Amino acid sequence: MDERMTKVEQQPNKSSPSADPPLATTAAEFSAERKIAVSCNVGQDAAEATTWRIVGARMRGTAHEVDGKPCQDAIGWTTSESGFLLTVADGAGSALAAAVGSETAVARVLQSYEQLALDMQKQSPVSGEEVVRHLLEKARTAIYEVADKHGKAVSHYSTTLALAVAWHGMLHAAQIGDGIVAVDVEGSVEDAAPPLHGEYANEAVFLTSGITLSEVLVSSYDLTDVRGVALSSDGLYMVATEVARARAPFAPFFEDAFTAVRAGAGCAEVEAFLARVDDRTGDDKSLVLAVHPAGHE
Amino acid sequence: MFEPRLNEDNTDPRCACVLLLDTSASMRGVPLTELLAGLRQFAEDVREDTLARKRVEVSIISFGGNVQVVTPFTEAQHFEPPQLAAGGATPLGQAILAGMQELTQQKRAYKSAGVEYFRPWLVLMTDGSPTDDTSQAVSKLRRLEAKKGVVVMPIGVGDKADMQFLSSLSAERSPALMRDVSSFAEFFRWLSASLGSVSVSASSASSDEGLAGVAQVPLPSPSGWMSA
Repeated sequence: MDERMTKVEQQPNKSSPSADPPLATTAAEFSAERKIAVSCNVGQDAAEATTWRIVGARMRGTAHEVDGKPCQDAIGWTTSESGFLLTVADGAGSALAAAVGSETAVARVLQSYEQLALDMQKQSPVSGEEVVRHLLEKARTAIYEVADKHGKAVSHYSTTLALAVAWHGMLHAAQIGDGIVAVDVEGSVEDAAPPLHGEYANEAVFLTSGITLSEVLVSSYDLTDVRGVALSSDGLYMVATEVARARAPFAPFFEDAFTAVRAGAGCAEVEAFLARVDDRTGDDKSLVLAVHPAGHE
Repeated sequence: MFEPRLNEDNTDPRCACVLLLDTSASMRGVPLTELLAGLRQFAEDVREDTLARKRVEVSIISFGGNVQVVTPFTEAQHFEPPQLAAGGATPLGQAILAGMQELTQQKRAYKSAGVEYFRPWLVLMTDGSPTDDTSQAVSKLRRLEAKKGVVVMPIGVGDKADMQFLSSLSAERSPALMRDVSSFAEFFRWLSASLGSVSVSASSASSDEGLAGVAQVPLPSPSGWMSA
């Protein structure tokens, strides 16, 4: 069997969906998860199948270290017969339970994605765009549930959420918040989901801000045109975007990042980068990347 | 190896802060000396704050007899305390209008340069009462504040300060009364620390108001200079 045809090597989120959703996913579970690089086959059939490599890491911001705040970014990724999912959530610095908010959103997204992927095998197919909207809705519901469970205001769990979903030959991306969503389409880095924010630099929009989900922009790409996709929280915006261009992805950053992952850089290398980079914000940083091995060349 | 090229060309987000300082006749002598010492303290403190020094931009407008922009907007790291002289009446209305104009111009400059910014601050300090018509200035300022266009910080100095007038300047914030002129240094310490907090805040808006939501960044306690 062709090496590239090897099935998923390791899955970061193997637990099957249960009736009781893992709302309070612990930081420890995530730290174990983010160290695992994943390869997965994506394609309608064996002839089309291509192996994607997924890596990611997150790092507590230097300002949060000083304040004694935990890392409020959460990251996750998973794979299925239908494709793969990447997600990054950034809990609001001012929210009391921001880390719970972001981890709840990511846990629910992973769980709901796996459920959808299972359902796909027996039910009528849903489009990738529907998957994205469904995941946003599930994550938002999870935030309301966790707030309700603890008898606290939803704003205590404020978090952003960015998603990239490869689904049956298409890639779909969206975000609610001010993260970075970069896609390499045939060698050109595009802003797949421009950040949403208010007039001021520290004014973010969150999953529970009352955005109408049906109005959230979902970008779609033919997966065969995509060479890489990356999600990041706003902790890297000063170094990985062009601020004067509404924080569009800084192409050289993502070109290099995709090339490095393609050449074998793993989660540990990404984490080491996040630890040493002078981000100029002091905020938590996250980076999750999926690359096509050959860049379709 | 994972070492992507970084964008070195991004400009830090800015926090514009205009200080409207009373330099009327009643500020002659010790009060002015203390005020100038406080400003020197402020210049030193913001310069030491690694983020605030690049992000905070300060403008100073004095009002004593006439209204004068003595320091146009300057990055905190290059801010030099101005020379001020005391004398004349207290044209608070004109000073407020001039302060708002400075902020509006500065915001426009940020927008056209593609520079992100925080909600600007307007700090007003007086030891007396307005001697001009303030009705237009007050209603304009209140409208700007209601649109979340400015953080207004009214400060009375000593027991002659017109606290009733200062109360009319903001719906969000009660005026603070500074015990006496010896508290200028403490006040400016607090101001630089507060601007420092604002300038590191990221994505901290309350979610309740959606796009209109504005960060209420927790500020340090003003107990060092504020009259209880």
